Amino acid sequence: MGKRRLLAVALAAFLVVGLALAAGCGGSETATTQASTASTAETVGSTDTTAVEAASGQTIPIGVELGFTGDMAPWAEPIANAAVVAVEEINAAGGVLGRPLELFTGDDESGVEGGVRAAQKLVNVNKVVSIVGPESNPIMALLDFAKENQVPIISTSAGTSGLDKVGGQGNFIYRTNASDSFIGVSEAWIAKNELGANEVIVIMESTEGATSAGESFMRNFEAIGGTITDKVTVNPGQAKYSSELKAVYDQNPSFVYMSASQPVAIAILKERYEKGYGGQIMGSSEIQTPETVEGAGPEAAAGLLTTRIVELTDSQGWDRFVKLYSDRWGEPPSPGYYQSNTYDAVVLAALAMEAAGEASGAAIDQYLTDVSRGTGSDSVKVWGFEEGKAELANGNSINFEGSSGPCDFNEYGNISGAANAVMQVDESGEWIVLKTILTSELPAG
Amino acid sequence: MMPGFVLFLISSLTLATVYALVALALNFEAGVDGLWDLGVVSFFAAGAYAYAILTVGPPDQMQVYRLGFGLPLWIGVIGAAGAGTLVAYLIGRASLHLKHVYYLITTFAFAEVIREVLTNERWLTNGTAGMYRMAQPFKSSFETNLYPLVLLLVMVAILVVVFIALNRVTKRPFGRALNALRENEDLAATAGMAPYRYHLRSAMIAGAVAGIAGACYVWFNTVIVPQQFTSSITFVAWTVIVVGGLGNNRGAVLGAFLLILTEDVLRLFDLSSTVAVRVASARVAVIGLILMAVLRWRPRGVLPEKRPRFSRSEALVPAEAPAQGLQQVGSGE
Amino acid sequence: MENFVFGIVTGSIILLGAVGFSMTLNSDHFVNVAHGQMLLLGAYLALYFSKLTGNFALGAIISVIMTGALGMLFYAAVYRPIKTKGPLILLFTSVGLSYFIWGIVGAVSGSQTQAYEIPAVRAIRVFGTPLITSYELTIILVAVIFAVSLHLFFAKTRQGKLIRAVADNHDLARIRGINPLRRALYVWFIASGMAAMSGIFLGMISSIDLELGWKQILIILSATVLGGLGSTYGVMFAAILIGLSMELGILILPSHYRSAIAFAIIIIVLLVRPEGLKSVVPALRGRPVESDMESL
Repeated sequence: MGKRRLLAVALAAFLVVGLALAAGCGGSETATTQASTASTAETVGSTDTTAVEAASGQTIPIGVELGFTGDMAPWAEPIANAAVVAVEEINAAGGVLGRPLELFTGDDESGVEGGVRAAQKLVNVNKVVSIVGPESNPIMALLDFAKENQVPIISTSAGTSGLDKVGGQGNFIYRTNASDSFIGVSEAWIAKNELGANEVIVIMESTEGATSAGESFMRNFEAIGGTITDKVTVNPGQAKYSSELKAVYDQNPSFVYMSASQPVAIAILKERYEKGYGGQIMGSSEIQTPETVEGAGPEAAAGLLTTRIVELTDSQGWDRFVKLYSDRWGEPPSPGYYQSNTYDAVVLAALAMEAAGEASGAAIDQYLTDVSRGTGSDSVKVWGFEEGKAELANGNSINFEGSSGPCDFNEYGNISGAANAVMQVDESGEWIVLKTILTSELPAG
Repeated sequence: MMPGFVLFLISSLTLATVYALVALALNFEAGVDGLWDLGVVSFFAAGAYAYAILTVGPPDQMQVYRLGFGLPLWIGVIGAAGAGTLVAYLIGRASLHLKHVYYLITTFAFAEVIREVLTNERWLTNGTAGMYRMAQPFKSSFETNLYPLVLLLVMVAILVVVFIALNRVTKRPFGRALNALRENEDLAATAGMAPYRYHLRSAMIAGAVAGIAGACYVWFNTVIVPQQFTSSITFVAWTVIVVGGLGNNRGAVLGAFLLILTEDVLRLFDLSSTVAVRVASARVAVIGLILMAVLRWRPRGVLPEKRPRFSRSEALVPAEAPAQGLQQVGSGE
Repeated sequence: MENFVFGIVTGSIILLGAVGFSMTLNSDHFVNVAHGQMLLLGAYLALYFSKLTGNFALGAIISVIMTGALGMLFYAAVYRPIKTKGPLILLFTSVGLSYFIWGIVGAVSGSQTQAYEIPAVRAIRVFGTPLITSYELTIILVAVIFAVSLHLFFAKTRQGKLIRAVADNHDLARIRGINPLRRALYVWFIASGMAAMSGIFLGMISSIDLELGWKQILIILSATVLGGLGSTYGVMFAAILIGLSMELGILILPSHYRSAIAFAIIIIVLLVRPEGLKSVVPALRGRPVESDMESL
């Protein structure tokens, strides 16, 4: 009996200690507890210049919510790293309104339930002013949550067309990556008019992201007069897709569009190479990573096509980000990981607070659209936080040009690219730009 | 305005209530009765989708589901219970004559097939994109910042009602009969019980409870997608009742609250965003360690089942044995 | 025809994972969910050691041995002390161990998709049709070799017979002076080593990510039960059958129901034949034991 009681006490003690620690984190806005908790001492915000902290002890908490575990985990690490780059850059430039940003993380476990739990923790315990990052399924669970808590949620990778019309100023929902609906238009156009495909077979993984992208491609490809001769749905998690690919290539397609996540795409590319299947193959944008090429092997990945959104004239923002990211992490970013979208989201949120003169979620929501696209023709284009902050201090209106593209939010909190680059893996396994196409050449979505 | 930490706790407790309901359902068929069901998520999913289809409005332009009745939420909850019962009946009819591990794998296979159907039959479920912005009960009647507490109270009220109902059934002749079947099915059959009929009824009761839990899960998430209904729900439910104490309803509820609260407390230790992925994985490792430790030093669960005292059988059951019948014969050291 | 070959490949991979799983089930009478994570561990250890040594084959061999050793360690440290507590407790302890292994691997290696540095290969053409790659052929060969040598081991060698004796009747074996711990350790070494091999093969033909173990354990579990508990041959047969049904079923039904096909077949077989395949094909019966399994 004594043993039993001991265990009950131990369990109770564990919970109490946990709760106490939690309370400590919750109250971390006060400067005194902040230094004492491990969570704040280690975060990137406070590793920076002491001058910033001296100016004003209070940090501005900002959250990044990603699938650190689960199916989205391959993306989570690079995305979180990009958020770190942004926060460190902002803090090095003196922080927002003289206060350093402090980055908190929440694991949405790549799903809905985890998404809700992570957001509850970030908003209620960490008191973040904004959440950056959640993928399609998690963010759809947070539509009302964002507005009710006055915390803007900025997705940087959710492609779902469900977000096309629900966000924007006043709704506290944004995304800095392009919707699948938008990407579908350009991919279909590029496939048909640039790559000469008239008949296409679509391979689609049965997951939310892949289905959404694949459907959008098919809809738009047919809308511009192309033919989808077949659609083959594949399940995630298989080692081989031999029979599925046989069903596709028995029809001798000259062009295959593949909407699949990284592991599935790797398996498909390997199979395609092993069996010597020919024809062109185009993938959705998130497989545009070096890991896809490494996983499949450069021989098998050679020829793989994707598209990505780029800036209109030059790639100043992208080049700038590549340098920042490489300096911090020792390896370059890749467009398929949504790192640039994430960097842009954090900088935009910081600039919105700077423009509002207030560090709150409501302030971000009110100014986010303005700083993303400027308020008039006299708006000054800026590419980084420091620049933007200086222009704002001079009383100018700014138009942030991101590293992922122009990043101009429309009334629904969505962006559309100015131009699309057609990318291909060359013989040595490098991603190269085949061609850049202006969005204005494309038909209306 | 409630302090942030309280709101976080309320959210945790709300989710724990959902898992407590699933655990109660599973505990009834697996603990009170002796069915090794590795497909309790089937009932849960059926309930959640029945609720969603009954209560959701017509599709928006991005969605492709055909049904969507927009009925009141309480009808949805009744429908959820009904759907759970129906699925339990159908699976039970087919597979209840199977024993232990064979039943385990058949129910598991059914759960996988059902999830594939939910994923692929888009006219019914809207496929992987699912349905979102699902209504929550009494939402419009309360202030926004008070509502989380209201939702928690609603779910706790459901939990209490279900708990009392299951407790009563457990203590009644029906529950005793299930206990007897669990302990020794052949003997019970000799005593005039029809095992199959009892098992089917206990599975259907579990189905109804898990179905209601499914509706509650939709309230918590406000989104329904097939990805939510993987077998990890089943594994969590099993873990909860084994940790809580197999066969004990109080243990099932306590187990659910312990597990969810432990997970959420571990969420609070975010050391540094530069190693967030590593920390998230390590957190899962810690949960694994805790589970192993509880089972090692508390193998009958935190709240072991109180066995009715029949003077003679008491002596036959070794003190540290888990449920008899689950005890492996001849593997003692 | 091609689909048939694909089915054999898929089945062989399942076989390597399932036979080890089935061995631990026979020797210790519980469902070891952590077996799936031994595949993961093997795949990642091979990745690490092949980078360290610069030689893939060497890295793979080190990984197989290390994973086998870790299997013994886990048995001795985690399962053996609670052997008397019943199969459910053991099962959920193995779930805990799964979380633990998975979490540690994730924390050490990160979450990105990885791949071995081995050259891409073209499939061998038979009558002009690309059929099978040399990697896949290796997998089938290894699977066959293991099936045969395990049979010989259990049927002919003294150690194999002793293991069966312990599994048959633990107490009697002990009375006869057989050390059950030593036999159990052999079993866990072989089973875990085979798991590692299965994980490495999976990594060779596709890629490696953290979900590898969870994906595989479910299909392994199904193959084991479908084969009929306690029957190593039944499991081998079931693994091939599942592989074939997945690849051939896609010819009749839409591909998105592919895994549903496999599970539907499991349901049908069990409903018609509640004892699994071993009751259909009498030759699958027998070895090692099955009497104890009924109580599972």
